[in-house]
Amino acid sequence: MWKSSSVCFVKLEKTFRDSSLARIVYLSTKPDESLKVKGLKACSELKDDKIVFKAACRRGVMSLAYTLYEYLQHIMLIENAVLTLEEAKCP
Amino acid sequence: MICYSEAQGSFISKAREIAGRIHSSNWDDVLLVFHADADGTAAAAIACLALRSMGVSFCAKSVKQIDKTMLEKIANYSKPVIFLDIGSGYLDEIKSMLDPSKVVILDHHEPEGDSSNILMLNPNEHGLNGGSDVSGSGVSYFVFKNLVDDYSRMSQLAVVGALADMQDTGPKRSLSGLNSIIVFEGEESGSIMVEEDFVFFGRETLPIHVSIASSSNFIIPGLTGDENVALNFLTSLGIDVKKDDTWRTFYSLSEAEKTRLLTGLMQYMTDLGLSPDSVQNIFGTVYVFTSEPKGTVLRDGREFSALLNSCARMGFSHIGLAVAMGEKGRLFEEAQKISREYRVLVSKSLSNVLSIPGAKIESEKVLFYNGEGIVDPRVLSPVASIIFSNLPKDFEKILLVTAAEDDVLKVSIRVPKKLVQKGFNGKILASSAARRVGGTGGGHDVASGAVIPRRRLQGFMEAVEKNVEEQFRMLRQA
Repeated sequence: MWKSSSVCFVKLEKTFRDSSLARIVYLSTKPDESLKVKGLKACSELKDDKIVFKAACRRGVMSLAYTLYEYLQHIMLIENAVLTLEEAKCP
Repeated sequence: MICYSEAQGSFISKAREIAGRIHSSNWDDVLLVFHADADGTAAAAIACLALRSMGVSFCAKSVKQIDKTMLEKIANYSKPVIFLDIGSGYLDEIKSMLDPSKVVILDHHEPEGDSSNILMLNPNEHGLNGGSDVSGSGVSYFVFKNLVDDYSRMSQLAVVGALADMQDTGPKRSLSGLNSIIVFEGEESGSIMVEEDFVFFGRETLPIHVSIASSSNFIIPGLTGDENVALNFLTSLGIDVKKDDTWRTFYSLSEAEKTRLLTGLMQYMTDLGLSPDSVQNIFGTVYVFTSEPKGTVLRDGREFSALLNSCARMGFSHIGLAVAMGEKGRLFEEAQKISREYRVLVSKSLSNVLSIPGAKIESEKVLFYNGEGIVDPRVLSPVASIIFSNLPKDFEKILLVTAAEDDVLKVSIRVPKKLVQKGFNGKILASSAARRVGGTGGGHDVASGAVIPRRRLQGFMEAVEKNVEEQFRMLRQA
């Protein structure tokens, strides 16, 4: 754990249509958290129909902002892909 | 060390040549004709600063467009004339009515007509994009910086002009192309500082909740337009909005407070189901002018551009010009008052056009807001830009907004970047459709406008649909 007071902590929750969709998105985004970026730690938890994303960053608040933005973009992409596949299966 | 592309090198070399020609002409009295918008005002301020330091007398006149009557008046002056942020669209008219040896055009709009024998600097003639690489004030900068010793103020003004023309289309809302050279030179001289931060309007001067509520470049449902809700929102995040009974501004927030605000806003917007792109709108690259005191309008590039923009739109370009040249007294106070009135007008017009039933008409390829009688014509362009900036990023329709002024209708057109990249041209759409109903049109590929007879709206919209269909067909073929 970093001890510097300049570390920014953030927690973001994203609620999905149902728990199975949340689980698919969670499992798809999980591997990215293992990426090693200096000054950034991230993890997520699955809570029923929610994903709780937590990050700690010592690269400044705007770096954190772009990390969150990319995370949200990633989530949206996967969510849209799943929904498109569902539609294709059940026209 | 800056590395230029071949096109940039050719543009800069032409700028030096024009500067040399202006210098060697030994003109003692010059007429400056500038476009009546924020970019044009900044372009004129750069020229005025240079001419003043060279000891050349000048007279500056703002214009919305160029017509025969105006050219006749200019011809009667028989002085050398420098067109700033305007002129490229009227090359044949200028050549036929003025002495080409006494004309200089510094503009970034697409040229129309024959430019031979006219001293002109235009990025489009060098394979650059006048819509995103450099603004009119940037073009003015690249010429006039060669005629003065200290051009640090000029680099700030060129950044103001580029931001006013919404050229912050690079990564993280940064300026790119030739604009990035201007920024680099400003940073080198110490007059510009580049940071990443929230980009809410008034980050230097307004109370935080007012700033969040007034940011019309992007809309956060529930917060935009409602200061009380924004205030409660900040309080719920545990952010102190006042210090010693004084409202705090964005620039006074600590990193920890900014993180709390960022998380709170992102959570709020995610809960509303807004796209990540909408969320990203709240932060980006900011340009800070270090020579201006902290907490003032002129310290932040976007606030400065908004001030000049409101002066120009409300018909007070001369006040904006004085402020851009460094006036800090009564005229500066007047400019701030105009800016406040302007914001109220934008907000009212926007609210009208978005809420009045029947104003919105959508077809397969066109989204049209009829603002006749409900949108003030002075704020038509910002209203169109605000609506446009809040459309989804994958939106692929052409946006049109109208406003009535006397017996004419003004039309503002916006084209999604994706379509422009594929080859769609808003300027062609505006000029071709307007011509069909006896009006005029012009502008850029991404943002254009037209003026048409008030009773010809239906014919104009039919011509728009036809031209859009034609351009889409050509895109498909390409």
